[in-house]
Amino acid sequence: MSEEVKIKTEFNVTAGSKENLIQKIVDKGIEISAIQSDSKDEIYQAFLKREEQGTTGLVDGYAIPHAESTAINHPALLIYKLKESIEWESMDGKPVNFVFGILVPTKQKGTAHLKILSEIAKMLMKKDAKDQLASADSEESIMRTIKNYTSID
Amino acid sequence: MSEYKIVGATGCPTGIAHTYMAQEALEQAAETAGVSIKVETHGQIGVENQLSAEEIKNADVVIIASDKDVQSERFTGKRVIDVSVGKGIRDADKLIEQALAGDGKVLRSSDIDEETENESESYTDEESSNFGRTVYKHLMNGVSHMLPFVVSGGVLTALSFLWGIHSADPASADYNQVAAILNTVGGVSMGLMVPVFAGFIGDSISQRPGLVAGFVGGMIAHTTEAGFLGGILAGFLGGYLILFLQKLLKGMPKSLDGLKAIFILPVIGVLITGVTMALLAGPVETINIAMMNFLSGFQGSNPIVLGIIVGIMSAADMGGPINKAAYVTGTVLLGQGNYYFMAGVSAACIAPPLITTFATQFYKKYYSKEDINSGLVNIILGSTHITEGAIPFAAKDPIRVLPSLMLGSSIAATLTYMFGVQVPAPHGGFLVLPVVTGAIQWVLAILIGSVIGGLVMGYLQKRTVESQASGTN
Repeated sequence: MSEEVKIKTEFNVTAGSKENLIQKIVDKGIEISAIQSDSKDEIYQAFLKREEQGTTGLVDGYAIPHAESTAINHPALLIYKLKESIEWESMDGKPVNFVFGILVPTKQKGTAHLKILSEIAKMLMKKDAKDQLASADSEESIMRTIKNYTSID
Repeated sequence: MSEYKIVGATGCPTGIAHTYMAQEALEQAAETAGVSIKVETHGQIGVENQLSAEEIKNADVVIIASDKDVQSERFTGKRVIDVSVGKGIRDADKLIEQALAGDGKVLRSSDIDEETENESESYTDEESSNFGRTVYKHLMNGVSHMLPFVVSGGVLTALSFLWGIHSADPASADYNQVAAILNTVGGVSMGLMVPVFAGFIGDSISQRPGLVAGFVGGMIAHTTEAGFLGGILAGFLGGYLILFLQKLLKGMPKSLDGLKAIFILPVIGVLITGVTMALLAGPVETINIAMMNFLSGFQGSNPIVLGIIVGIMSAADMGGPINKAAYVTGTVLLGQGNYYFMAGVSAACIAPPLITTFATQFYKKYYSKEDINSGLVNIILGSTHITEGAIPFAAKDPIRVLPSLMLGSSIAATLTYMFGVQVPAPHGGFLVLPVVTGAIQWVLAILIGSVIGGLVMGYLQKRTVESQASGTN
C-alpha cells in the first residue's frame, strides 16, 4: 500500500504564513509529480477553498490542509514540521507547527488510499501518536509512527 | 444483536479527514466515559460503519457531528445532539457528557429540522412545508411508539377468538378462562393505544414534560371516546403548551431548574391539557363519531366508495397517521360490534406488503436481489398485518409505488366489502382466519388486490428501468 501514497517529510521549515505553506505543498506536489505541472494555481486555489469551508487547523498545533482535484495524479502526504508556529485559525486557537498536507486525485475516489488518509486523520486524534510525532526528529521516526497507527507499511 | 447506548454520525464536505477525526474523538470520549458507541462516517469513500435501523432504535441518544447532511431524518423521534464536525473533534468529551446527562443541550426534532434546512439553505423560504414536516414527525413519533401496543394487543385479542368469538364472555357457552385472560391483556394493550400515541406526540415536541401532558390528555381522550382525533389534539396541545411554558419561565433562576422540570412544568402541563381535554371531550367526541359514521355509512350503501377511501387511507402512509386513522376507526367499530368495517381495513393493510412480493416476483428482472428478498420477507409481514413492510419500496420511489399500493389496497378493501366479510379481530392478519366469516372470500379479495397492485407496480418499475437504460445510450 505504501506505493499508493507518496509520503515526504521536511523538518525545520520556515513558512511564515498558512498561504506560504500551502504554496510549499503545491510546489512539492509538482516536484514529486503528484500534481500536474500546469495546474499549480488550480491546486493552490483548491486548498484555499477547502480552508474557506472550514479550517483544517486542528488542536495541539496540527493542521491537515487537503485538496482533491482531477489535476492530482497521485495521492500524497506531505509532512512539515515547522521551525516557527504559524497562525491557522485552529480549533483551539493555538498556532500550528505540524502540517500534514494531503493530495487526493479525484479519479481514485473510493479506493484504498482514501482509507489511509482517513487513518492519518484518526491518528492525529490519538494522544500517544501525537506525543511520538512531537518528539520525532527524523523522517524515519515519523514514518514509524505512521506505520504504527495506520495500515501503511 | 449488538446494542449501543449512543449512536453517532459524522461527515464533512470533503470527507477525507474531519469525518474520521470526529469519529475517533467520539469513540475515545465514549470509551473514557465507559459507554458503548457506534459512529457512522459519511466520507469520500461513502458511508462506512453504517447504523442499522435496529441500532438507531435501540440507542438512547444520537450525536451528529457533521457539516453535511447525514440523512438525519432516520433519527426522527430520537434524542439528537446536532453539532458541527469541528465541535465533534474539539469537544467530544463534552458531547458524550451531554448525551448521557439526557436533558442537557438536547435538541428537539423540530430544531434539527430547522437547523439542517437552514444549513442547506434550499428550504428556507418554505416555512409551511417545513412546519408540515415537523408536525408529521411528531405524529410519526406517536404512531411508532403506539404500534407495538396495537400489534401485541391485537394479536392477543385475536388469539382469544380462537376459542370462539365470545370466549371471553362468562355468559357465553364458548367461555374459556385462558381466552378470557388473553382477551383482557390484549384489551389493556389496545386501550393504551391512544394515550401512548398522544404521549409520544408530546414527547417529540417537548420531551418528558410533554410526554406527561400528552399521556394524561390521551387517556382522557380514550376514556371519553374522543378517540384518535382526541389523541392528536391532546398530544399537540400538551407538547406545545410545555414549549410555551418553558419560554414563559425562561427568566426563572437557574437554581430552580430541577423544580421546574419535575414539578412546575408537569403539574401545569397536566392541569391545562387535562382540563382542556375534559372540556373538549364532548365536541371532539361528536366530530369523531360523525367521522366514523360517515365512513361506516358507506358500508351498506356504497361498498366501492368505502373500499376506495379505506384502501387509499391505509396505503397512503403505511402505518402512518392516515393509515392509523382508518385503522382506529375500524377498532372502535369492532368494539361496537361492527365486524364488517375492520375486514376492509385489514385487507387494505395486509395488501401493500404482498403487492411488493408480487411485483418483485412478476418482474424479477427489474429489481435488485435485495428488493426481491425483501419482497419475500413481506409475505410474512403482509400475512400478519404489518403494513410497514412496504415502506422501503415506497420510500425509494413514492411516485410510482404509492399509487400502485393504493390501487391494490382499494381493490382488496372494496372486494372485501362486496363479499360481506366479517373480521372480529383488530390485528393478526391471516392468523385470525379461523374466526373470520367468509375467510376464503377475504383471502381471495386480498390476493386479487395484491396481484393487480403488484402487476402495476412491477410494470411501472420495468418502464422506469427501461427508460433509464435508453436514456444513458
